[in-house]
Amino acid sequence: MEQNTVFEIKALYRDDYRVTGYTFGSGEKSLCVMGSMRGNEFQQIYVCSQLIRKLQELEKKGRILDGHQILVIPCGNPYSVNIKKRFWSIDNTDINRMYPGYDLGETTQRIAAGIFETVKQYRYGIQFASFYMPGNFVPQVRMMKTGNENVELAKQFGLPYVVLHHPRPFDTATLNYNWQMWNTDAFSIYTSSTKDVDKVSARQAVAAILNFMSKQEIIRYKGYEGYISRVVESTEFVNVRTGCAGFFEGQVSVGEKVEPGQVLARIMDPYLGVQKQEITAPVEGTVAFAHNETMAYQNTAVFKLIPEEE
Amino acid sequence: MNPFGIDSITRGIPAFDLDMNRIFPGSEDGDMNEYLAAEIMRDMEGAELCVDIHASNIFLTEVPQIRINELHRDWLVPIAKKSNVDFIWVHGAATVLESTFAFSLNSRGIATLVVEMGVGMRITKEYGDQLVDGIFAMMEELGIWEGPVSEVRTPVISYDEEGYDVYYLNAPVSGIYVKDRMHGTLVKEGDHIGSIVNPLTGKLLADIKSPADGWLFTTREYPVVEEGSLMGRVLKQEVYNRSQEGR
Repeated sequence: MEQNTVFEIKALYRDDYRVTGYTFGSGEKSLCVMGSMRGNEFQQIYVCSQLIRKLQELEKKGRILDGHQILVIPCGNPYSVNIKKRFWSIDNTDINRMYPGYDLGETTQRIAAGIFETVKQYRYGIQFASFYMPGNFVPQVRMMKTGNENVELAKQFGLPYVVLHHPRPFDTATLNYNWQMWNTDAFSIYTSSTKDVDKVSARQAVAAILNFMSKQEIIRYKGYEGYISRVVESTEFVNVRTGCAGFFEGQVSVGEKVEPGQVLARIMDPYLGVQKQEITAPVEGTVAFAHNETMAYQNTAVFKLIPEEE
Repeated sequence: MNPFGIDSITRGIPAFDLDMNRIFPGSEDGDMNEYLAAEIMRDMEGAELCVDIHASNIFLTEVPQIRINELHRDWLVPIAKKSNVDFIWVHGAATVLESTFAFSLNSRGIATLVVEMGVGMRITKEYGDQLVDGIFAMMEELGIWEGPVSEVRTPVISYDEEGYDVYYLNAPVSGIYVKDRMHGTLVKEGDHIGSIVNPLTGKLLADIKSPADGWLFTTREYPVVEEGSLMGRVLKQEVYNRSQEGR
């Protein structure tokens, strides 16, 4: 394993800003894994650390096949992690909305350009992403529908779902989108959590990537095959919204199958302690996303269900 | 449109990740802020003109200007000329800007002008009064207002067809930026605009000079800069001069 600096900015008030990468093997730039780009993506950093540990073991045993190089970047934004802030410390911009970047532009544009200069060279790109809504996800592979997406490849991760998403304008500045535009087969992997480390889904993500690499003959590895993925378009998701604000008491977990009318959550009056709303499933389906904060606003999607196939 | 933000000195909608001006036209199925955006769009239906007033951010001061997406220039520039701003900047179409309030309205046939003026979190009364005069002039033009209107100024216009009308001044190093030229002034190539100094030693780290003759229409206000931070924008002199010929 080699540790190297992918991108760096000299700093005045604290240690220099450094994006650190770990490479394994040599040869064709086969696969790149990007961990966190936001300061609260602790799960994403953790999954990368477990993947790095596993790749080190495989490398020692000679199981990284000749002619292949793998790069893992656990954290693209250590500055924000270190001050517990999600976005860029000074101007609150999102590095994952700056791609492909611009090397003469503003700070986060330069960071995106610096990272992209390295990662765009890889054949396969995997990003551990987090959603803009606070909650837990059923483990899934997400791809943007750009015309360049490869669904059959996505199934080879063995995760329960492959989700295809129509990019909105603000998605066109993300790493995943630009990776695809630059001919990297790109996948976003969502594990269950973001701010909290969830070791079970982290292990699942590591296994999924190792499976994928094995099937692409990048490594020699035999593990649990995983799921036969169901392919779903994000437009098929059924959103379940709150009718009022208050304390949110979830009654189901991600991955759980629910029946029509089943209680998914309760909204409680934060002053009076009484129930304001019982949120129920409108259809039979699987909970793909569940809100996970103590409070919920009115008119907010707190669950997304994947309806059962007819 | 963001009372939460006003109330908490937050630029975005507090507790939400996405910039409110990057989620339009919104969605009834999304998070609360996307739902809000969708409802705002519904409220705007039927309007003949919308003036989307921005005051830059806390980092930069702008001369009063209107920014127009090149896709809408033929339709919007004639109206914008009546707005009493100092500058109209027709810029290239970027996909991410398709998520803005103005783009969404323009796409639905509601003429929308984006105004930037002054600096964030401060009131520049002179600019506010200037724009009010412009709004009345535009309303007269549209047949909405029959009362008195002030004469409006002729703006500098950049169509920026090649993308080279504007020079961007980005910080080459991190430090404290000390501004020495005001926004709205004319500069010559090589003129000193400001300095980046080391806040601990006072040592000069970079002398920021104008890259060309032109009009300094944006200047940095917030003194802390990182490598890449925008410190100013200069409009090419020849573009500025073309507009003066029309005055």
